[in-house]
Amino acid sequence: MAAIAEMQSSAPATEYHAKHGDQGPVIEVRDFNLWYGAAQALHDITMTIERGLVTALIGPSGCGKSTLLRCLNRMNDLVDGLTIRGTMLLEGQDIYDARTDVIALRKRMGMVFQKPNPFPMSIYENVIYPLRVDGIRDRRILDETVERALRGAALWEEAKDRLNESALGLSGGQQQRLCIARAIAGDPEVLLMDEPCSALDPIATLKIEELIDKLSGQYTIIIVTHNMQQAARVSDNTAFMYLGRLIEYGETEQVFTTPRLQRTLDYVTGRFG
Amino acid sequence: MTGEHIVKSYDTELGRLATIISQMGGLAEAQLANAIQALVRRDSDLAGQVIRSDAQVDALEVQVDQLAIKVLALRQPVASDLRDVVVALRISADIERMADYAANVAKRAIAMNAAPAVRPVNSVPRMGALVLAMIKDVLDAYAARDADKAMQVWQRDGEVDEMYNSIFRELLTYMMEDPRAISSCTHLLFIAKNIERIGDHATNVAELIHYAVHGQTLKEARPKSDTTPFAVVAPESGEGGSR
Repeated sequence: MAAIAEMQSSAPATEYHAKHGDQGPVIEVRDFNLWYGAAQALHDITMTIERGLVTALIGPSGCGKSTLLRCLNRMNDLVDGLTIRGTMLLEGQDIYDARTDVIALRKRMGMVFQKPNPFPMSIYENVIYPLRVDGIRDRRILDETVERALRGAALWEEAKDRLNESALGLSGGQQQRLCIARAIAGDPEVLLMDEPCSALDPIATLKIEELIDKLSGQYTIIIVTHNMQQAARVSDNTAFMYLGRLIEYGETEQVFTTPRLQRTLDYVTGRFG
Repeated sequence: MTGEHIVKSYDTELGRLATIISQMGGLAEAQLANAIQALVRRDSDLAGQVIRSDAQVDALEVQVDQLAIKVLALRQPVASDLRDVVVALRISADIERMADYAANVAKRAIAMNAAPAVRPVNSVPRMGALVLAMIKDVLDAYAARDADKAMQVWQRDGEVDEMYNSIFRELLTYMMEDPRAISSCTHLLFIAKNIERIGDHATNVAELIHYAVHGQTLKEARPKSDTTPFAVVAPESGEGGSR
């Protein structure tokens, strides 16, 4: 019972907002609730995502972290029986407003998934895919974008001599960096990453982590990860979720050294359950 | 300490770390008690035993180091677990120093046994008893992760300092009265200083327990009252300048 009471008081999260709220959040989530049919998956989530920082969402399976991430660019829209209540703002603009152009919204938020998902086409075409969708045909712009995005994703040196080869010939780690290159080719404001390293080996994982570090500042990054050490290494802020609620949200160093709530402590130290 | 880890061997390792620290602490406490006994009873055999036993404490410190490094490398502890490991490393270093000082007391006790007894030997064992109680309580506080109890030990360091001040002045007086006592009194002065230092280490341990429990270092200043660094004693001019 004590644990339930503890979960329901998301006091640290509120305090955090009081302290950091005026630093110009990119994303604001307010009293956000979500139901899959009758089952409520998210409960009263309120949080701000700060500009240019890396925010990690951690928590056990089924805690709602991926659901929350997917709500940000309305990837859940097509799920049957989905009900939402609450507000999500990107730069002050309501993500769930009826007038919001979902395609335009997703361009502003690049997404990288758990398994690398390059399209069955050349490396070059993969990277410029967002520009093709926009109908950009200027070869100079396309070439520049490919180099900028591949450099940004730390893949240029490995891929520059094989741009016209199939992306499917790349290793898993390279494919994931290609997906990041594709995500940043359209110059989004926010990068959403849903367990981007879970299908990669440790060295490829470190390369992605290094890349996240390099991209932070330029992009606001939100990463869902099961790997707590990874969250500790790459993120500035960490949000711990459990059973669809935001339990504790604060600076990563604080969450991993002196978490304020027992449940967070139990989770980060591996005592959960 | 909160609940158990999902990985049981992690708990076993952290528990082992705490057990070795308790063993070390128990040994250091016994070492000091024996060193003081050796001084009071003028028992050079017991003193020799204290000096030889110091190696046991050193060996346990090596065990703590090895195990702590293993846990850091293999478990990557965070939050309270990380503090437990870091604190274990530091407490073991403090206890190791305590045992070194106890061995020093024993060495000086042997040297003093070669000369006639000095009067103020009584006040040194009193100070020793106070410091022994501090060690015992701080070890209990460590075993129970009881920060309040640790803070009570921390408060007592000022008392040890005051006793040391009075011993310092007392011994200076004896030395001025009788130059033949200088050798023994100097040994005794160092013994008192060693015991006072052991009290400082017990206070360090208390601070570390506070950190392990609360995750914050203690902000208050220590109750320091060792004034001997500033003490100047000169023969008073009115007191029959017999030169």
